[in-house]
Amino acid sequence: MGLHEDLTAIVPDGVLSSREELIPYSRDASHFQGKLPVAVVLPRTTEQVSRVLKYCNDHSISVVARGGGTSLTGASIAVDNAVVMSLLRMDSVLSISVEDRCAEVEAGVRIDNLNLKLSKLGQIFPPDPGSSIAATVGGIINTNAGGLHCVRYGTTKDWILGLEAVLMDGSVLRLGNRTLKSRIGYDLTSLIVGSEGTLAVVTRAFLKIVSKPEDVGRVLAFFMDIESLGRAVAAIKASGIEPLTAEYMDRMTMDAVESTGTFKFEVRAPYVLLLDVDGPGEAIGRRLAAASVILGENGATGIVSTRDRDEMERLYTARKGAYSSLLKLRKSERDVVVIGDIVVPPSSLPAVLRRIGELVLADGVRVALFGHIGDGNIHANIFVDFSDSAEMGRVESFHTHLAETALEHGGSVSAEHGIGIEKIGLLRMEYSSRHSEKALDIMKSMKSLFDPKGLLNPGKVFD
Amino acid sequence: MSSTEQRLLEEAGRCINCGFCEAVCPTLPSSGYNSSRGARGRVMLGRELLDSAARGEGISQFADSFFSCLDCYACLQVCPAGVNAGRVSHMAREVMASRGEGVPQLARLMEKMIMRYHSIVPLGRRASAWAKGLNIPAAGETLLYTGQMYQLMSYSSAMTSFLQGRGKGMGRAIVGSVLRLPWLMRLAPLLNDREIEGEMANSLRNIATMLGREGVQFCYMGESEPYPGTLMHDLGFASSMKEYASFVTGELRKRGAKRVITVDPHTHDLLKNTYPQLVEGFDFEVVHYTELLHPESFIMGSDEVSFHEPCHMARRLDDFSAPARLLERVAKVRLPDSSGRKTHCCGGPDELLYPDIAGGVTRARMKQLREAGGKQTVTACPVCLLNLRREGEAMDISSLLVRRMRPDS
Ligand SMILES: Cc1cc2nc3c(=O)[nH]c(=O)nc-3n(C[C@H](O)[C@H](O)[C@H](O)COP(=O)(O)OP(=O)(O)OC[C@H]3O[C@@H](n4cnc5c(N)ncnc54)[C@H](O)[C@@H]3O)c2cc1C
Ligand code: SF4
Ligand code: SF4
Repeated sequence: MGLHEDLTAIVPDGVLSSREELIPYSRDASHFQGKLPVAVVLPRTTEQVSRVLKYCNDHSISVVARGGGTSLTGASIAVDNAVVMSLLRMDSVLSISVEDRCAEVEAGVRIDNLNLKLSKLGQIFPPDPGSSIAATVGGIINTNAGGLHCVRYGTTKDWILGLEAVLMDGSVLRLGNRTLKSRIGYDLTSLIVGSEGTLAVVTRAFLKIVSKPEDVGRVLAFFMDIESLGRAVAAIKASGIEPLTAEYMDRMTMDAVESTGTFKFEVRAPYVLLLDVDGPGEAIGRRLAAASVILGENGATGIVSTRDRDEMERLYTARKGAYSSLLKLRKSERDVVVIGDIVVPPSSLPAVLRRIGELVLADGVRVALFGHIGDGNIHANIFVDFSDSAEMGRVESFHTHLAETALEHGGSVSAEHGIGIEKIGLLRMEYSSRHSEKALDIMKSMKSLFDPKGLLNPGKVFD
Repeated sequence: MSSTEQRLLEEAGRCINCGFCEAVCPTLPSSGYNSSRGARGRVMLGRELLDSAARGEGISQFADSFFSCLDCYACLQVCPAGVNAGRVSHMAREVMASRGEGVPQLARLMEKMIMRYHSIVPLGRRASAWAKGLNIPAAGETLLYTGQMYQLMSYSSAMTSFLQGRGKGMGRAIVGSVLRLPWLMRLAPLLNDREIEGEMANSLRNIATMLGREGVQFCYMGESEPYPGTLMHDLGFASSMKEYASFVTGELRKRGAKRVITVDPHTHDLLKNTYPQLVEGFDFEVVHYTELLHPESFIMGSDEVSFHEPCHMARRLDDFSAPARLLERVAKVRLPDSSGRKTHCCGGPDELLYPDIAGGVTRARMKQLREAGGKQTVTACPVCLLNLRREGEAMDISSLLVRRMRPDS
């Protein structure tokens, strides 16, 4: 039998192989054009996942696991002949226990759908990447995604208690537990978190959940220069206020957001800081006032605060869509956006942001800046036309300078979007700057223990 | 490149594959998560269709992707780049229709029926049976335009399964015969569901009664009232639609109409948003009947209802809240999580060509409506009504409103 028939025998009604059905799986949200998969398989059960992987392993066929396909680094597309395994049919929230602070979910559950269910019980699952409407549990686990609430809650790794994961040879591992603690040997759960689908296919997860913030208020503070904004964030954190989110956008990003009609900023300034504070209803006003005073003292030229839910929701949606909105500012359809995703200790932000400003001018690139500034994460969105070799050279040089800047200030070349195809070189650069190339060798050895034939998501993370 | 192809390229070209739209597109889960039946896939395939056409290759292989789109515009609500995968699909269907490639046989049959009989089914006198005894004048400045939508509902279910055929290949054979011998459609009354016919006639009478009690004077074209062409427009037959819209407009003018009262969201949307683009000088005032009913004319009852807002009301018309406002006057209204501009399609538009996808969409929506907690489901569209009914109880808003109209109004 052929591949299609063999896979269909395992997943009846769950195999796609005509060209027009495969095309949508050849792209994710990155600028990379992947190879057309040889087939797409959509399992419903762990058993089907296991049998498909075993079949592919036996026949030496590569497999790329895919959730929402929102990767910004090309992590969820095939670089070579491969079967794409979409986990979207595994979309059940199996149980929620507020008492145990745990939700058991299948890998294909989308984050916003999960949070909608949790919110009815007064709970949230905090990791909330800008893509949470589409990103899946399996996807955010495998990219160790961050998001708008990281400054308070940390990244995905802090919220995963246990996993069910299937190896390329078909064996099913149950790692960690549904309990808040479990010390059961090496922490393989954490190893799989952030492994970008190169070690195992995640089918289920035990997620830690937490009560929803009681009430939230939002301040928008406008700044004339980026250093003041960086200083203001540092001052807020030093004051003991623990913001729920601390996001910033530059003028170009604000223009892009406004051009989509989702939000209009009241003040026109080069930079805006978006800060959320939470607490009991009666304390919010006080906290907003305290934050506003600190922001004012640190150079904010305009401050607007709100507790209006609709307005906050619109702004939140606008910020979440900032990246996509930027695409409206492309000069032509050939333009793509390459994202520098660095992180630095928040105390270095003023210096790093100033340096980035200098690099933009020196390298002559068109860049929009925004990011989760509360935890020192800066997204530099660089416009590039790949058919213009001179521009490509400038962009590559800027991207490298940006990474070097992060490393010089004790930061990292990749904060949350992962390595995928895009940042393989930068990953090498980071470990070599730490004289720790051996760490990469260890990672590769681990990969070969999980997947001896190297068939799971090849061409990602390492070359 | 035709102007439609140009617009298609422009719309699809703005997409950056973020995948947000896919997460809200009702046809994606209902197709078993086949991305080519989801919003992002459609946008990608829109570009692919143009490339294939430019290379002189066939394009019919893309048909299922675009014809299975519900035109519900859920995708547009979440796309940060303002791309509308529904419009992409619509334009792709227009490209297919204009090139004569990939258009399903059933779709061609619908075009033929509408152009020939000015309806999907030649209804004859049955179209106006609801108005018998109401003595509505045949001409006047304000015209009640039913667009035959309520009347057609009594044929929709049996007719759909007839045309789809029971056995394998039967559907094709039946549609083929009707395409060759269109008069066969005159047999359609055999497929009429009397019970639904009666219920739909009641809805129309209720609407007419309420308008009358509000003092609105109106005329009605009766048996000769043409269907507005909705399905032909949706299926992408742009040039036939242009010609047909002029014909319908002429019929409205013949009755001396200046203001047109619509009763269903599809006709309302079409007349409000599409006709002015198709017919030069289309200057009628178009109002939905609920906009002419005063909230003060109604009193609160004890009903607790889940309200299904039709896509063509909640998303195609700016701030269209008249039905919801009236409903809140007469009943305790429970809204599902997907409401307002985020409403969820009932699946109706896929009923004819992709019944399995339609079924999945309807089930998903009915589940949401049940979870909302109302004791019964209410909607304001005959298409939604019949679709939701496949999965549970549902009633038309007019039946509830008429019961709660003040006796003195
Ligand atoms: C507009 C936009 C905003 C974004 N904002 C953020 C942000 O704020 N923070 C952030 O961290 N990221 C962000 N991202 C990036 C991306 O959304 C995240 O990386 C997200 O976690 C990917 O989830 P997904 O389900 O789409 O995964 P996919 O893109 O489908 O896959 C991502 C990786 O995970 C693997 N994978 C997926 N599912 C499984 C599974 N079940 N088992 C094994 N491997 C699997 C894939 O092979 C791939 O390597 C954003 C993306 C977009 C388009
Ligand atoms: S939401 Fe918009 S930009 Fe994102 S994939 Fe869909 S159409 Fe493209
Ligand atoms: S219009 Fe509706 S069915 Fe069509 S692509 Fe958009 S969301 Fe999906």
